[in-house]
Amino acid sequence: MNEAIRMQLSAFADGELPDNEKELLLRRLSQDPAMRRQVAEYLALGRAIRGEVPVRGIERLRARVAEAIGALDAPPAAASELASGEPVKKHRFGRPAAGFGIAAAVALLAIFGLGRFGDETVAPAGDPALAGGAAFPAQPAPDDRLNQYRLLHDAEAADSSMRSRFTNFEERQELVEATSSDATETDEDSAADDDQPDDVPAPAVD
Amino acid sequence: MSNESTDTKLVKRVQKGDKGAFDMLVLKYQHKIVNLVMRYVRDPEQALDITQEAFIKAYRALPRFRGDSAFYTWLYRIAVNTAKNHLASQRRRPLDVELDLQDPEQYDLHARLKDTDTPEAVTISQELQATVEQAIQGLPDDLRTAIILRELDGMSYEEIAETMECPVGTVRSRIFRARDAISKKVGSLIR
Repeated sequence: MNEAIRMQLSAFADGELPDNEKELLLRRLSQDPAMRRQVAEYLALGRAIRGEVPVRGIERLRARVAEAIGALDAPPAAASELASGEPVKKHRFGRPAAGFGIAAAVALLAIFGLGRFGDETVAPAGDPALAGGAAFPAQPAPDDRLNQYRLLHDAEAADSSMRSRFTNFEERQELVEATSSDATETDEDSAADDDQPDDVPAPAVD
Repeated sequence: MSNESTDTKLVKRVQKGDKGAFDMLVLKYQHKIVNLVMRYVRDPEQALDITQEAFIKAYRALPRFRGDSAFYTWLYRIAVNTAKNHLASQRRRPLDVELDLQDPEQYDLHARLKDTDTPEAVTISQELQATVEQAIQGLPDDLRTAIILRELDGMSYEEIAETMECPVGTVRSRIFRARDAISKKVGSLIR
């Protein structure tokens, strides 16, 4: 680590790094444990100069937390956002419609898809264009194939959205437990929940 | 490392799956949070366990943190509630019920007054402080003034630049060089 970087880290530890240098440094910091150790040393030096006594054992805390969160999955949005570099837009209001989409897609597939697979060589009755003609394998019209693809795609997307919704609900349950101290929770306590999505019903307090 | 925009940037990185950014947040706030928890439980081991739990809860909840409040305020309340839940599970009362622990700003003042240090810790601290004092005294005047104005008087770089009548860049360099020099003398004691 060269001197210029260490000087940047020193200013960063003081909250004095200019914005134009901050973004790049944060990226490097999050990838380089040695740089984080250097920041930790500058902060510890400051506490020593001020005569602050750290709690015994606190030097192991970061490793303990890192180990614990290492066992957890990355946040749900992580993989796709990191891969694309773009935040994933979440269409919260579209989720109920997506749920209905599953049922509709399954029903339509059952009606059209299964019927077609079971009777591929029979011309549709009553179709004047085919009446009296030779039997031939029935091919879905281009529009029909496109519709089938769309239905399958919608069903996949809706299923994924519902799974994510249930996962979020479970995690929210845990957060509410974490931020609800007891049944006589104060306004300040509940303020920690202010950052929760408002589309999930809050569980009843015991 | 105290401005809000840094926290916001770190939070956004964590929300994109960057665990190193969360380590930075732990590094930044671990002492404040553990000192806060020590107001509820006096045992350092328990305080560290509760602090760890609070950080893990925060990590799990971060994907839904929208930034309506400052990250530290949010983390602070998670830690307070985690400590209260811990006490409730043991049917005990907080040690400092008279303090207004709901207010992070007020709490910082109280944290400086804590009296939970063991004799052993105090001895080590005294030794460390003596070494640091010696190292500071050995610095050239401009470096010594810069580091004292920063660490003891809590001045910003801009305020120090005005006081010392020099550019902000010079202040940055002087503080860094002062730290480097002190670190060479006491680094092994604080690592």
